[in-house]
Amino acid sequence: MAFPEQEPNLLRTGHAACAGCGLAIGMKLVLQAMGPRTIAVIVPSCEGAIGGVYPNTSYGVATIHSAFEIAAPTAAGIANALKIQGRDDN
Amino acid sequence: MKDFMTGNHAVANAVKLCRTPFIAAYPITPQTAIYEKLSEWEASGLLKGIMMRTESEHSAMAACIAASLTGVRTFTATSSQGLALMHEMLHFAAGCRAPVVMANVNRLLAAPWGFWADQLDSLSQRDTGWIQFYCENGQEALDTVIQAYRIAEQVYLPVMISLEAFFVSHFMEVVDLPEQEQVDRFLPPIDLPHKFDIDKPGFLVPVVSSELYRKYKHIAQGSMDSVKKVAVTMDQEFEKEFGRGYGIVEVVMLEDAEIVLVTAGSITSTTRMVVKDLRKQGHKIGLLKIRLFRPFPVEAARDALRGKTRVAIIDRNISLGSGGIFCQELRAALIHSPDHPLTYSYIAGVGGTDVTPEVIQKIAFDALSRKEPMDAPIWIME
Repeated sequence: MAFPEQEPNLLRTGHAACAGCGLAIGMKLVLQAMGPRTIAVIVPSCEGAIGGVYPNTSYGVATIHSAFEIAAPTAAGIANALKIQGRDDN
Repeated sequence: MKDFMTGNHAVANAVKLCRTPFIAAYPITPQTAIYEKLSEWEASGLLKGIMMRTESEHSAMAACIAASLTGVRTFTATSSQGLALMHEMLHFAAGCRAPVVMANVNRLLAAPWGFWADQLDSLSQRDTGWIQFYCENGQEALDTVIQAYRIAEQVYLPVMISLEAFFVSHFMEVVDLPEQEQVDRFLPPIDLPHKFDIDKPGFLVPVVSSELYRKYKHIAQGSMDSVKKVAVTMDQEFEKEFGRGYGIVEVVMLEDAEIVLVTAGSITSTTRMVVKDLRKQGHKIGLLKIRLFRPFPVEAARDALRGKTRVAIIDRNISLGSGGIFCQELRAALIHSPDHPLTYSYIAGVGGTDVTPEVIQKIAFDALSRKEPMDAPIWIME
């Protein structure tokens, strides 16, 4: 079974992963499934490198690149803050 | 409205008055009462918002940074080991320019274990880019939390308010609780320009080039420097609204002082008494209280000590291999002063040992009796 290409591609070309990286393909598919109303929380890892160097980034959704071991509380902090702001319809 | 409460509860009340809707924290003696009170209020709905009871202080700070960057007012509290555990995220918060406000109850750092008052925990974090205040009592801690949000949300740097374990955190005093309307007038709702926005997605905290990192630090230094003026302005505005002002430093009976005692935190309160008593006995003694530590109030301290010949700094901390940290910072501030006063470094109260009026008197007379300069710190034990 093949996944149809969907627009927009939320992991844009020019990312910094190694050629043929499965993680990059996985990230692209995950973002396709989740859609543009997504906030991505990334920690130092290959995903951090994939994001690229300022002023460019290949991520097409709002993304935060935080520190080691901190993805869960970072994501929870954002989710709770959105709830407080009444913006949790994402 | 006057009430009778501990320093910890005074801080918790300040957070509630500031309508802080997001708290992420972890309990640690002697901060626990702040955590418990906020937790109780959040659970009952008296404090509107969400409290995350995180698995560690490191996570608590990460959650606060993330929530702050999403655009809400945040708060956390910790102490000692907890503050040390979130060290990495302290740098991160300042680097993100997130206006997080945190209360730190000054407790000694292990090893060996103890829970008693010592300033080393927060002073160890002086390079993290956080604004730092040291409070004498519960009232000042309450007022400084309110002021802190105004300062943080203006300069976009996080603020740490320190109060000593047990001497301030657990000590019950009469506290004047401001009215909600007064605080609402003083502290408008937050409106961060750089909030996390899903409709206009951006990438927060990218990898940058060396030159760009340097530029960010340079800009941040400018903002940090501006706090010396901003904190004074906010304090004056605060005094107009609430009737209480503190300044970034405070001078007591300094005019013709032959010796100036320099203190921070609760030791200041005791020293006020000693200065009054010694003055009655005819000794020319004065007091300089340091309230704002980061940025260090270089100009204010230098101005206060102009023309003074002898200064004794009392540090409830010791940086092994160097000395008392308030002393280090003050000596650096005075280095270009013409007629540089003799500065003596006194270590008293480390580990929470009691700094009694007798100890402070001993320090004053010891400093008065010395003829030669002395670099090394002088330990005063009872």
